[in-house]
Amino acid sequence: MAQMNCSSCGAPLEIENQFVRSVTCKFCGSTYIVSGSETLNPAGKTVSLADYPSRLQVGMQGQIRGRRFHVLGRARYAYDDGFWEEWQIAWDDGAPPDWLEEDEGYWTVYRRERVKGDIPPFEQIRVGGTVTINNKRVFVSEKRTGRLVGSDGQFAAVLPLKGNFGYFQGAADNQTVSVNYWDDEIEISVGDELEHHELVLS
Amino acid sequence: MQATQLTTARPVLKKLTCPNCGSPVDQFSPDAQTIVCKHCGGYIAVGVDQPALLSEGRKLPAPPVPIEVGQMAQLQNTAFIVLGRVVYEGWDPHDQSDRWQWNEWQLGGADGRLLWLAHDEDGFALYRKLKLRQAFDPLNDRTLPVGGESPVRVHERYPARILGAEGELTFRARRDDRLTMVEAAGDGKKYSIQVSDQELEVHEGIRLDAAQVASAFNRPDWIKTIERSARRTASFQWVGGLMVLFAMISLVAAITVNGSGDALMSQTVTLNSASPMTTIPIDFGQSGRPAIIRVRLAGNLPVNSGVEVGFSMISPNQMENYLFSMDFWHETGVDDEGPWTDIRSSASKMFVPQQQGLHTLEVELTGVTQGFNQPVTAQVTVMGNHIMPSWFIGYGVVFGVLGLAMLFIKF
Repeated sequence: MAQMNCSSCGAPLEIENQFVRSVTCKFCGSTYIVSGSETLNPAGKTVSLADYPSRLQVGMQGQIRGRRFHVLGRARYAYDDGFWEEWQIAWDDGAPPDWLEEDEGYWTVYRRERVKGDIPPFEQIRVGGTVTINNKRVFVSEKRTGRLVGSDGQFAAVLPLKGNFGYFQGAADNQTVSVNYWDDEIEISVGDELEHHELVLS
Repeated sequence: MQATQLTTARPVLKKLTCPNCGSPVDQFSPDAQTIVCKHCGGYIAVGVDQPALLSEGRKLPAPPVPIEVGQMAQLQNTAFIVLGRVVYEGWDPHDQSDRWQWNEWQLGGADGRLLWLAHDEDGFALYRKLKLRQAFDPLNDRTLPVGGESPVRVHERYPARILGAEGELTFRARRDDRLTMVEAAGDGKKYSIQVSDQELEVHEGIRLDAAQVASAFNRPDWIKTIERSARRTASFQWVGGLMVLFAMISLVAAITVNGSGDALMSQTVTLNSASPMTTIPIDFGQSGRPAIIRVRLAGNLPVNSGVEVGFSMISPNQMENYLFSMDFWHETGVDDEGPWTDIRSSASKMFVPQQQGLHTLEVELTGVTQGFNQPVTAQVTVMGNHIMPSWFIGYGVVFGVLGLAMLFIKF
């Protein structure tokens, strides 16, 4: 684990493993991109989430289907009619980090998936319609425009500090599919919904 | 109401200030996205930037059942707390005067689950969020693909709005927010689908009866009220059942007594243009009891002819009263469906003798169709002490309506 300091407020910043690509100072909200040599490049500032109560906390540990994890980072996104939170979790077995998301008390673990074909433009996505994503027929149940509100901790991705992005969510077979339309990238995540007993927080 | 008895002291996660009235507002749930100010009723957006006023509020209608924000309930082996309440109003898109309301309480579970307890005219249902796995067109499809064994059929689509809210809600709510509701049912479950351009949300619900909910909220007073209501309903249903039974008996009696009575006389009369009238003596043993005069022609009238027979009654005091007339006919013709024949060769009518004793019935051929010149022979029968079916029908209808109302009334 590498330890550095926030150039803005001097607070210590931890880079836990080779998967971490960005880190947010929990004191001042300054965000840094981690380069390959574990040096930090300032990327901007987000709102500190310390003031917003949540069910999980950075550093909290738990198990998913018996597999141990701890929370690396927390990101809160907003859309016109509300917000949602995503927690970057690191597996204790050394596997690449995944994302944990909660929706009305139901948890889903998302892992990133490479784009393997054409993705329809955001404008063509329609709630209630079906689209093909990576050879999966995805039934679209949600389509919105969001923005990052704030973040805290370490992430295996560079968070979009500025501007809005489009996204949609849907279901394919027994999986949940989420597609984010960033400015420079389309990102696909595929999720497994968890039964209540499958997530244990400690 | 024993709200305080079962309300737990919840830890305040965050102290806020209402952007509308400046009153202190406490946030209890980490999932809250909207908090309704207790003081001004304003809808406050929380969780992003500073608390902001989404819409002004107004006094919420009292809940139809004693469930209050902050109360605890034990459901599905988990402790839940009532986070907030939303009152919705739906309406028939084809008849906007047809409106109805329902309440939904958002419940936060100790295990992090969020459920909705809904109450409408059908009673309670406990809903949880469900993700659809197959395509569903909410505005056109007739079945909801939830993957169960039995089909889930859509039975209602209607617009709705938020009439009011209180407490904390895990979505952005504003007064008068509009939405499209789709309701479906199948496999013993209810489904509520809320549709907007941005989202299609499906909730799956199970029915709960009021006693189960009262028990979940550990409300002995409410349980007693429900039991009292159930007893009252059962009593009404028992009485209603009896009344419906009585109504059915009355209708059977009405059919049975139709044409009943004592045969006072029966006589064949023949009338023609030369001798158009005849008299028949009748002795009525009682006054004020209905009697029936029944006439049956001997055979049919000639084709395309008709006659009118008038009846008058001379009482023992020689007072003559015209009673009524009867028409008989035999008509034929051709219309779009082909040839038709219409024959009337018998009739009966009722009258009530006002005096006791020997009366005289005058039977007169009062009219014939042009060219009709043959005698009319008929059997005239008079039945006394007739029991009128209309009494039974009247009682039957009154008891039937009252009985059915009592059968379906609920307290």
